[in-house]
Amino acid sequence: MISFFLFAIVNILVVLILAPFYISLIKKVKALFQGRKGPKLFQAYYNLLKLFKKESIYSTNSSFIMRVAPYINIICSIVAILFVPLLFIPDNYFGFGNIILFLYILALAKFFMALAGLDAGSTFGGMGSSREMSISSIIEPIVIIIFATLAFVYNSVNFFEIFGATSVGLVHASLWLLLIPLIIVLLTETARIPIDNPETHLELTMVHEAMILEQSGKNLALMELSSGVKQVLLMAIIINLFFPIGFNLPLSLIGIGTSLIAFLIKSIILAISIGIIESFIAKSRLFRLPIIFAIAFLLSLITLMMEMLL
Amino acid sequence: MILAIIIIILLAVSLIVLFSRSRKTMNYVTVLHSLSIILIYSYLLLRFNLPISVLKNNYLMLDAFSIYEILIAGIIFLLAAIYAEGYIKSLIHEKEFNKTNIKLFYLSYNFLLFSMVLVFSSNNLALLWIFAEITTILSATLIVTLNAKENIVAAMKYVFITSTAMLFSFIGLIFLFAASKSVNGVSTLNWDVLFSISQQISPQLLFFSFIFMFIGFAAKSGIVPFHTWLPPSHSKAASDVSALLSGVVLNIGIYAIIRMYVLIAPTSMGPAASIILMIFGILTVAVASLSMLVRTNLKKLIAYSSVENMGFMLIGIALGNMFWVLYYILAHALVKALLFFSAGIIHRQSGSMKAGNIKDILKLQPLACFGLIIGSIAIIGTPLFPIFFPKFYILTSLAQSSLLLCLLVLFFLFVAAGSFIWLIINLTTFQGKEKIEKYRIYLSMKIPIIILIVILFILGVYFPQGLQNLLKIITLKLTGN
Amino acid sequence: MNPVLIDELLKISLVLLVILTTIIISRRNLVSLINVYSLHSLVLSFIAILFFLSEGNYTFLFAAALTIISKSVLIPILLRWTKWHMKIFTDIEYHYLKPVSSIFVSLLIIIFSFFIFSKIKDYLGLSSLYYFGVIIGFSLVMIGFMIIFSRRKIIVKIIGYLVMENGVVLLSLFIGEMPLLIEMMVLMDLLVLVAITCILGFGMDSSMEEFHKKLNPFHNWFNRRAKK
Repeated sequence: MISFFLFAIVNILVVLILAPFYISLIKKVKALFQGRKGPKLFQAYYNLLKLFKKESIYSTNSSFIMRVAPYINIICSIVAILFVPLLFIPDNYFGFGNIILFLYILALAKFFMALAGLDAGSTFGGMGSSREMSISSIIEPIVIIIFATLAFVYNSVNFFEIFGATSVGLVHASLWLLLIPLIIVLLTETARIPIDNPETHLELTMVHEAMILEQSGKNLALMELSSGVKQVLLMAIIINLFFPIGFNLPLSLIGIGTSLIAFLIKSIILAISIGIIESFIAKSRLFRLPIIFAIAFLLSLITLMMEMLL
Repeated sequence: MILAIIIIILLAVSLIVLFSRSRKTMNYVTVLHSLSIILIYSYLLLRFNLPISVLKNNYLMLDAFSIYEILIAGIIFLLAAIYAEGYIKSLIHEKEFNKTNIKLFYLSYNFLLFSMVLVFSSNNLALLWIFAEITTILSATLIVTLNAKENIVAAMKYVFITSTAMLFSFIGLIFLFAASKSVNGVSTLNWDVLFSISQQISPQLLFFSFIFMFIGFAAKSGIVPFHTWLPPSHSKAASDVSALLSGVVLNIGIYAIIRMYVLIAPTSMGPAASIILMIFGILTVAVASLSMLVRTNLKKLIAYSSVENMGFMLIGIALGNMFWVLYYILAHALVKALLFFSAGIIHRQSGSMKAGNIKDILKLQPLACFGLIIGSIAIIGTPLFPIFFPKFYILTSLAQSSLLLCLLVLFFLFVAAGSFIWLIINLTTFQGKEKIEKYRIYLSMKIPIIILIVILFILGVYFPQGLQNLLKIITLKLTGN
Repeated sequence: MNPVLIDELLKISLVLLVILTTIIISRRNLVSLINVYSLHSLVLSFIAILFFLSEGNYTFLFAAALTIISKSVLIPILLRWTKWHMKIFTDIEYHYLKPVSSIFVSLLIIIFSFFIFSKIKDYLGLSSLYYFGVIIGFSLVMIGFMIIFSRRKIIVKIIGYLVMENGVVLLSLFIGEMPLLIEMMVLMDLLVLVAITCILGFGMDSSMEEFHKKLNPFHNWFNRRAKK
């Protein structure tokens, strides 16, 4: 019981504090690759603070959805944090950690974000929502198959149990095949190149940005924070599945501290490699996206087949 | 020993071709090469106890069936080489054959003959596969010596379809190789060993590898649905090359299918293999004869007729009627050579193969025209010509197993015959308005046609005792009864 | 060497082969196609080396060396040479299948080969890893077949053929190694075939005007005199 409370507090704090950091880290890496100096490493924190101080402005056409959506988003994200252990696994987890529930909580957040995009009645918002929804409906089967494979291999649909298994033994060789689909899912869900370009406000390429175009002030800050949280969670899934070194040490202050440092190092490396991947590939057209998803689908299905066979 | 002799002959011939400057010499040595192959192998057939092992581990081995196929190949190569003397000369004279390609042409011709001999003497099935691939490459080279864009396209199609399909038969070989291990613990691909142990190999694996082998070699002999390469490549090639491709190179596929079928026939999966061969055979006959209906290009029609005949041979194999299938191979090769040689002369005369452009040939080129008429009558299976007997006996045994199928095949044969006769009547009776100059045809182009007509007439009424015995021996060896 | 480690390495190489094959299906850039193919062959020879380590049969080592020399060095050089002379860089012509649908078709192919081989699994007597290798090998053959039939450029067709060939080699590694003599002759045959098709394909793929001019005198071989 106590270990779960400890887990909840530590997990939520770590994720909420770290979330803005990776946003600016990836920006910095990309800037360096482009030969620019780039923003400060803590720029995202300043941005969020500034936004929190400002008031929100609503369009006269907007309904209550616009007002509720940011709060639903951040609440969903905070609940989702409880599903993915970052540093250690508590003794008892009270039904948290169910993969399917986790996916649906994220989907709920996304649904309200898309509704808010439609709500203001601007053309960009509608376009962004429709694009986001079509992309997420294509990525959905891939996500399902990836987690079905994990569930099949580890005989569980719970993150706590799966991570408990990976932290003990070696990862199956064939599971490495899942790394590529998982990274594709990560890029898609966090709206990064080649699926989406988070930096422009160009109507041709915007997907995620178009949806939150109408948000302002506190609400925008909440939206940004929750997408940062989502990014950290997905990164944590990849890290704890494939590189579980230093994860889930015996429960003590030193243990948690070591795990935190290990997680920081691994996640920084992952974030830097995401930045590198983004710098090397170009944003693909919306109609070229299915090829990326098809590759992810193929690889995840082959992994499932291999696991069933071997 | 035998291998050394034929390699030395090949080397001598290719050296002469490489260093000689006159085309005539190259052609003479090519004729001599084919002649020497015929002589060597008939000597072996008559004087030695078969089978003879040619290479260590019995990789290459000669039995009666191999020698029979080699002799057919030798005869067609000999006639085509004689024909080539005049044909290539007139092509060069008309500037339709690039002079720089002459050496390439004769080199590939001789190497094709050599590799044909090796294909038929391979006892190891993997070697057979490799040599069959080499014949594909060499035939493609012969097709492109004409250097027109259509020829390159046809050759590419040929190479791609056959070699892709042949990869499937390599898979079949791998499975056969693995399956043979279960019997004596030693994997082997030697046909004679496989033949002796075929009843102990797991029939399912054998059937599996049979299907894959069938895919590849069916493509090699133009069975539907892999026949699409055959009409363009046979019709675009020079006429003497077409005769080789149709009469000899297509036989490789049938030869390998017979070898494989004999392995599977006595096992419990034998009937299933027969059914597959029967289905593809009937499909081939149907598709080929229906496509023959609309042809106006003479050489394409003859090429489609090859497809149809290959399908008919498959039906014969499926019925287990080896004796007549073997005879059919010989008769088909001779008739096809005659048809293509005559078509070559007609093409020289009128510059086209299409009905409507060919005028007055009965008056201008009577020999070629008779060759064409006799060839067409023979190929559709008229009595008094050699193809009649095998067709008749295979159809009779088909009727014994299923009358309906027999009627179906007979219908398609009628369609094929009808389209042949229609086109031939059209071609031979079409008269132009203006007077056309007679094209000078060299004697060397006429000799093979005369020889073939004589052989066909003789074989039509008289079945030599020696040939009969040879076929009986082969059938006995293959089927065991 | 430790058999468990070899098994794991085999699995990883099979996974790599699948990934490289999907890249071959989805790429349009000819340079990267050729590079990926040579990597593909390298992984294949690595598998052969693994077989040598586990079984100690020198045939495998020799086959690996031959594969590296011919397939990851010589043939790519040949292809690059052809590509360089043809002056074409991307392949955007497809007969039937665009890359997305061809990826789905290759998925179907893998399931299909799984289905076929489940019929004869018992007769082959292979362990499940070897059985999986056989399935992947056969799927590579079928995927190569699909590439040949769906692409129009000869040089991409050649790459499809080579992928098929790699699949056959993979199959033969997992089922039973062929004698060395045959292995060598098959490779020789492959080299000659690729060389010939490269030279011939030159005339068809080439975007160069001069080449078409060169072919022109013989262009209408069949109807030239009739027209006159």
